Amino acid sequence: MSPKKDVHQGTLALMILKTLQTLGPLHGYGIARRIEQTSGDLLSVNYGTLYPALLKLEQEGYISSEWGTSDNNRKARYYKLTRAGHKQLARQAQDWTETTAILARFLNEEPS
Amino acid sequence: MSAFRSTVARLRNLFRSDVPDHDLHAELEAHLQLHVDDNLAKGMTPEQARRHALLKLGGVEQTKQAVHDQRSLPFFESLLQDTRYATRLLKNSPAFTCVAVITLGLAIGANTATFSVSNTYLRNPISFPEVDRVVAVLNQAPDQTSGWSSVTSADFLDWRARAHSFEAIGAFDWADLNLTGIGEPVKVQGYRVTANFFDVLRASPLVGRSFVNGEDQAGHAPVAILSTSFWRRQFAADPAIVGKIVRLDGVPTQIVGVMQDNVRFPLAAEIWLPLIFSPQEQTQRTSHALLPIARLKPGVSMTQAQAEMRTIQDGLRSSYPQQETGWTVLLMPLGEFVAGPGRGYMFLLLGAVAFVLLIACTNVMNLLFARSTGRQAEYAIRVALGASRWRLVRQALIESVLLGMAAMLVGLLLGDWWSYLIRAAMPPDIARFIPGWDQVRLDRGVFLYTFLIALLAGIIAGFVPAFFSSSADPNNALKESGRGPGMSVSRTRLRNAFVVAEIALSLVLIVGASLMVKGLQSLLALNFKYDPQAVFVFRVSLPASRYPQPQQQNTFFENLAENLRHTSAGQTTAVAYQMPFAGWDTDSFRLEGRPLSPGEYQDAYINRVSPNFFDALHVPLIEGRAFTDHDAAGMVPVVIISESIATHFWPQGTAVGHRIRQGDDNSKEPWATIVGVSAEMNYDPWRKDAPPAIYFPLRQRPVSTASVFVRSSLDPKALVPIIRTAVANADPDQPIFDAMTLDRMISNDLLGLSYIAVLMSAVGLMALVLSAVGASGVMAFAVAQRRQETGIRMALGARPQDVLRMFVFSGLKLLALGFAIGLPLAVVLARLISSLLYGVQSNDFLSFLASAMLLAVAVVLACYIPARRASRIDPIIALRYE
Repeated sequence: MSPKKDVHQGTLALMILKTLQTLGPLHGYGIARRIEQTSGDLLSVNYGTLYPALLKLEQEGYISSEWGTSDNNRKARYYKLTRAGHKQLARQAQDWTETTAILARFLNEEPS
Repeated sequence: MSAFRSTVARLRNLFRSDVPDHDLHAELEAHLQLHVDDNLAKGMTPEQARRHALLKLGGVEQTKQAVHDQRSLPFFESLLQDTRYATRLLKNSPAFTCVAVITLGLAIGANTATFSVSNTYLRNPISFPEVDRVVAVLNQAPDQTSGWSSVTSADFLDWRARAHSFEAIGAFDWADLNLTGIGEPVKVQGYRVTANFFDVLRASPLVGRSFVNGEDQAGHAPVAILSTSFWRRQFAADPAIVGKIVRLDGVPTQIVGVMQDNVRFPLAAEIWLPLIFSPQEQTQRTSHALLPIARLKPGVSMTQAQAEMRTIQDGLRSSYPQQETGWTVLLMPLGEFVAGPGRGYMFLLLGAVAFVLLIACTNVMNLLFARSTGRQAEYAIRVALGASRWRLVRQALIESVLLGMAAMLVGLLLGDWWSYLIRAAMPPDIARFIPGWDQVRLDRGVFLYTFLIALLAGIIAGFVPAFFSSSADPNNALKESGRGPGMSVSRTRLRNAFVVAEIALSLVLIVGASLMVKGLQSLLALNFKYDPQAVFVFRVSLPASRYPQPQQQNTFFENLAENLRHTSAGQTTAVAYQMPFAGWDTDSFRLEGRPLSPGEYQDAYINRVSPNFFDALHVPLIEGRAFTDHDAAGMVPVVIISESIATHFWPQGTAVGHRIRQGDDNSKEPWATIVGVSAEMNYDPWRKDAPPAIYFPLRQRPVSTASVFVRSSLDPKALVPIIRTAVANADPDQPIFDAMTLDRMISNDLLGLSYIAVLMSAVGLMALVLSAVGASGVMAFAVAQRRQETGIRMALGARPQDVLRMFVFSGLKLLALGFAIGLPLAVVLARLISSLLYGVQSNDFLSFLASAMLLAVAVVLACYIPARRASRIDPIIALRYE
């Protein structure tokens, strides 16, 4: 098994937004778990970067948070997407798709 | 947008960052619990579950710190922290803080006051739309190195016809007028202006209209425009003023408009009339009387316009070599033209207060240095704990900038008060001649300036100490901290350098102040010989319409003098065309048989006086005789010249008997025989190179406007009614104006100079005190620092006077160095002042010596007191002292 990769800089925010869109309101631990699972456990989320990233998104107005209760009755802070967050996700997702498509074309070019 | 929102949120948090991160703590705790629950669900034991979760979470504290940094702005947060710390430190040493803030505050206040006065004076002496595009187009006479000359009417008309650089070029000329027909006759300050004058200024009327084309052509019905203040004062702001007829110098004139209140150009203008050139005036190129102003075309620069005017003047010179040789054209921004000779002094004052600020900064720098030495251990510990050097420098700078900001508040208060004092002390009848004077206030510009200099002062005062204290090697500092204030050699040198700089700067300022005072004194001393308290002066201006014949004018003045002689008023009454200290009319002159070479130029104040003029003013005649009643029309024309003409042209032998003529080579004036040589009189205290004077007898050269001098022992209050009656007996329609003692008139003329001398003295005194305080501080510090050394010396047999001598001597060394640097600078300043002011010599040895002595005494005293304390140290105590 190859060593787990850290989340690529700048993509963590997008992953958080996407996770919240898919799963609805979720706490920090849940978000981290989900990202790790979705990547097929190839990625490892560093919590030291997760919480600052959440705070930053909140400051930017893309997500909002409130205290709630988890399934197993633990108090936790739940994050959810705002309207601005939905728009931002759509924009960023498109950017990424385009970027990766372009990169893929470059990388797939056969040497002549 | 999102970046903005985030920054706002972080800034908001900045001021709440001392609230513990309870939320985050709880959130991380919850995170941990959720993880542990998961792990338990996977079948781990509770310890395993917790251990695994903690490992995965990583450093809780690091996470908290990372979140915290994201929450607020770390840079600003630490800045805020440092500021709070610095505030606390300053609060804990109130004595130091007070001294530093007051020192800086005094200097900043002086700067604020000076700037608020000079700002309007230098920058906005007049306000018109795009006034920076308006220039005065002036002449410079041959050999004239400074200032400017008026322009001849023919030159002006040629310029107007040929120049393409200007949107419009107009001109104005001074005109004293008598207004009659409404109550008491009054004298009005009028100006004759070309019809486009107000277009050049882009000035618009408040009521009625401006002049229209053609109104400045001969034959047009006389019209006039009033200034707002004159309209209010004389006509009670009559809204139906337009169309009214007033009599100006007896000529019925229709008022066509009132200019807006901001139209104050020329400054004292009360009324404007069209300037009409007579056929002779249109071709004359010798009488320089006009002052042209022009507005540059859009896109044309001053330099381009100047170049064009130079070409035009070259053309005129080849057409009229006789009259135009040597004359050049000078373009001057209107603001500069209006501000006039006061400009140089304003810059001088601004420079002086800037020096004072530097001295104050140096003092505070020394204080901070002394403080930082006591805090070596603190710095060392901070460095040892990992503080970066930049952080330490920043910390120290924040402290000094805080001091600067506190000083700014003090400075603003003081500055406001001082600028109020400066303005309140200026009599209103002088203030109206000072451009922009009524606009002086603490406006935005002044606030900004004060803020900037306070900031700069804080940085200057703090930078060097901050830099030095941060460079401390923690190892040494901590070791040394047990042994009293350790000072490296370089630090002592630096502090001494500050004192040397202070002494040098102070010397420059004190020399400057003493030269100004001396110059003023010599000007005043010049007057004492006129015995001016006992001479009363007033002016009368006879309208040409009422006194068309020159001899009639003469008869009026002679009757008036005769009337006065028969009152209780005066023993001696004299009449003169121009007054000392307020001369304005100069003209060229020629000596018989001594033609000028092209480019050479000689001019003099052309005065016309009654026979007893010299007697009344106590101006001695060096040679020859005064005028008599026999020097009348039809007799041999005679003239009296002032001393400098005589010594210049007849260094050996006598001037009496030679002949002289007013005007240039083509002058129609008759040759006049020199019958006397008078002592020199000062006609313009503002001009260093004021021309000499030539006197003609009134009976041969009558005038319509003259000053009447009455030498009387009566009180001015008692004198005025007597004079009024005497004038009314000669002609009931004549107003008198500018009535005051000669003393008062002269001090009015010198008022601006007295102001500057007083301000310079205040600035010099401030510098003296500040540098004495600075020297004393450094010496006291040196004494404290060398306490142990002193103890050892005394234990080894040094007597108290040896110790005293040692310390005083080290102070003297600094003094000598300060003088060595300051003296050359002072000489430069002295040159500058002597180029500005009459009666100031740049090599005035006595002033230099006196200033140096004063400063030396102050500094030696300042050093003596701490040195004396050192000499009384008990060696036992000193050696024990830690």
